[in-house]
Amino acid sequence: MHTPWYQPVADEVQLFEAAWSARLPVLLKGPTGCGKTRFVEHMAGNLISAKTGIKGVPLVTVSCHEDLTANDLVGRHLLQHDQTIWNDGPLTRAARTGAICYLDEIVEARRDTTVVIHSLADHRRVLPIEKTGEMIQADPDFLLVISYNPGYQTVLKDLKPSTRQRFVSLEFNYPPATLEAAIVAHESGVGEDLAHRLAAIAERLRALSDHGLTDGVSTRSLIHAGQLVMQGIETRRACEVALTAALGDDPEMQKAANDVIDIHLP
Amino acid sequence: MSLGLLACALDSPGLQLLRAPSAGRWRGPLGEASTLTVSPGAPHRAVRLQVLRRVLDLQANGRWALAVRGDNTSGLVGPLNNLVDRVLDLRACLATWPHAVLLRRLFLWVDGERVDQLVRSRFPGAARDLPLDPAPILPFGLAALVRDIAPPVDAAGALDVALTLHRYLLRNQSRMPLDLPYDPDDLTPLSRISILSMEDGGAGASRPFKDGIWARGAQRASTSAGELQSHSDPPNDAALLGAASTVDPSPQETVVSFPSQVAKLPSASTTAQSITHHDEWDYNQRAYRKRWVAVHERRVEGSDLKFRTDVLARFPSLARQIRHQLARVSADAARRQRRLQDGESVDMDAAMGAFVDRLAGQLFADDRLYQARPRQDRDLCVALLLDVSGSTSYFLSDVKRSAQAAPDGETFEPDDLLWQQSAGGMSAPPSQRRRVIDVVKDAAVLVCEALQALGDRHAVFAFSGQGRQKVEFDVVKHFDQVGSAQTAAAIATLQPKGATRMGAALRHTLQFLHAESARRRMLIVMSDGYPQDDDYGPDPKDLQYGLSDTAHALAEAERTGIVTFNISVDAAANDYLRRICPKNRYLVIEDADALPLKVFALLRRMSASRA
Repeated sequence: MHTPWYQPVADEVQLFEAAWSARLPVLLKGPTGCGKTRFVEHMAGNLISAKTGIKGVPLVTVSCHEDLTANDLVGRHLLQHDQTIWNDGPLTRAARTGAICYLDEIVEARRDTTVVIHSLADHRRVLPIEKTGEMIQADPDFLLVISYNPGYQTVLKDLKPSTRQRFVSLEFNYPPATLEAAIVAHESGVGEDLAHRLAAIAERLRALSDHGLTDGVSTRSLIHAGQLVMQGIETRRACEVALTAALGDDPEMQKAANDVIDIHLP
Repeated sequence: MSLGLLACALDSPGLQLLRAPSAGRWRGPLGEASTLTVSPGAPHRAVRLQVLRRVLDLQANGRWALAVRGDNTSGLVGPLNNLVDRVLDLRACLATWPHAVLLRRLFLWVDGERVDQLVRSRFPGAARDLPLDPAPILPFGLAALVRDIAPPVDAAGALDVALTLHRYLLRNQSRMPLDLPYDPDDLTPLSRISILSMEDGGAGASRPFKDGIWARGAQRASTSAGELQSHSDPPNDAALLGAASTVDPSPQETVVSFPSQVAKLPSASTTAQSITHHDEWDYNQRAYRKRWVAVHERRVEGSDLKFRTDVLARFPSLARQIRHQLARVSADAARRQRRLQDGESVDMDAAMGAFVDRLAGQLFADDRLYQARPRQDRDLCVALLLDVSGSTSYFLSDVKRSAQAAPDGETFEPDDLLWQQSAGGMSAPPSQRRRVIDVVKDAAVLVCEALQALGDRHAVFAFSGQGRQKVEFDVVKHFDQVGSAQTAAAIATLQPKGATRMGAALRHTLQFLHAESARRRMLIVMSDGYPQDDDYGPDPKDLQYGLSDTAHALAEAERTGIVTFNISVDAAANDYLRRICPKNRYLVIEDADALPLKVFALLRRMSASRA
């Protein structure tokens, strides 16, 4: 199977490998679109399984949202014909069969999910299922990975300290300009020159968004801009739709962003 | 204005744009670092170009960072200098030379060309705009001289080149009158002034260098020293100089009404005080000073019931958003969700239907048989703590200016006078000028409105006072009060006075928050400077004491589960807030005018979904 490409920025690869060897749960902290998910996919493809001894551990990803409850993660009974049948949720499946379970944007989910995570995230590695009365011991190949975005929007939804300290924390951020240019060039196919200009634009737009309380321009949106250019869209237009739009609806902000784009492109 | 934001994006936050008749980049006067004057009629691209140039001027190698030693180790200081042991900025340095205005023009030309070359390389998209405001022609055959000089790499180098040209011109004094016939009211470019009797009508006339004098492959126009080129205006010169030909200092009357800011203050009535003693953290001793500060608490009431409507009228789009929010919250609360796959109780209608379906022979019954109560209440309460110390009385335009004190001995040139008069600040009548406290009050009213619409309990407190025996703590709106015109009237009575003993104010606010039973409790502090007081620490000059005490008080709050957030309109706050709070727990707002909008946007962002 093809392992997704990932450009290391610091020592995150070694740290994750070490956490995997000790089966320590991992927390990825960083803004949206900076490579956290791609990183997990990459690592899953390269880690050595304890059971088979070869590269590649299955990965179960759950994108958390406001309506996600513990039951969504653990499982529920479904009606089929005349019976109710227990259906494992993604977390239970991962714990049973041995996979990395990646809970993306965990702070968005309902509070009752924390309880479920706690028991899996310490040395016991058990998952109690109330509804069936089971106590599942996690498979040797199971690992819990969570992520969250520490911006203004999570101030009131922060992870509790007692949850946080169960995890090894890796900090992610947008890569420095030269690396970001390399990533954009690789993923979208644009030439080096344009990739560097896009990275410079992103740096300036991020300085802009600091003043506007919006999320910064992500590496992902830079790649999108590049992909549009490769499809023949005019560069300024591609940047407008991929980058400016992401900065929110404030018309002054958008005008400033378009100016930033305009002055950086030939 | 979006160009202000552009300046922020390019690492020059706080750049103010002023629309006023201006002489432009090539003529001067120098102006002030943080205020850029542009002509009212100038098109967007031209203004954008000026912003870019100014951003480059403000960088470390630009003209505003110029610092020349008075002892003249650099050779850039002139014979009129009497500040040998000081460091001179650009303006002071130029003033040490005779014929300083001529030198200034030359410097503006040389440094301007240097910066334009940077614009070409750093901002290729803006290079196309350079012809909108090209450098004027250098007179007296200086162009040939300049082209043989190596291009300067920074402003000091540009000053050096300008001095070379200056010396060259003054060396030929036998061919020039001693005083330059400089008429302050004549705003034609220098190139048009004819001094020599010899003029070349047309054959030697050249155009402004299209790619800049130091660009690669610049054309070498044939000029011989001593000839004057007379030349027509570069295109769009008039557009940039705007209405500069008539020097009319009186600004247009702007009609802005602030009905609540009349000379007579709205009357405030206060109730009896209660005194509480709080500890204070001494970072020198690394221990608390027990019961060290006496906080005098009192309730505040106001009588200006129109204040709330006035504020909402000033921010119509925010008022609209608040109304929409209110409608959304009510709609949400009413809805019970049925036909869910999972829920708290059985949806009887759906269950009956499924039972009947199965009896009728349907194999796969719909399993969405549950229902859920409406979503949990937000259960959030917010306390707003306002710093109303004396510094909040500063007028907003002065806040930006305060960093730029005029250097000693600055001579007022006619150009400068023109600029000063049109730059505003002296023109708006005092009653229409807004102070920091006014924007803080607006922001407070808007926050209350927003929280009221969301159904969250909230309170507003203000603090000031003098010395540790008398920290004044005003309860402007208590948690139990419902937000209304009455509570907004109380906010209207706030006036700036006293000091900023923030630690004590924070600890006092905690008492109110601890009495609240909401699941999430938040403390938002709005301030405009360092925590400071007469005896805030044994050494009044030691700002660290106040900062440490404040940091401790914030930590005490966090330990009890209260989320704290710091908002400051002090541009320097980034330095100290960074040390006492994590990045997503503080916000510095450089443009105080924008405080209400920013605070509102922040609140929306933080409460975007249910906690």
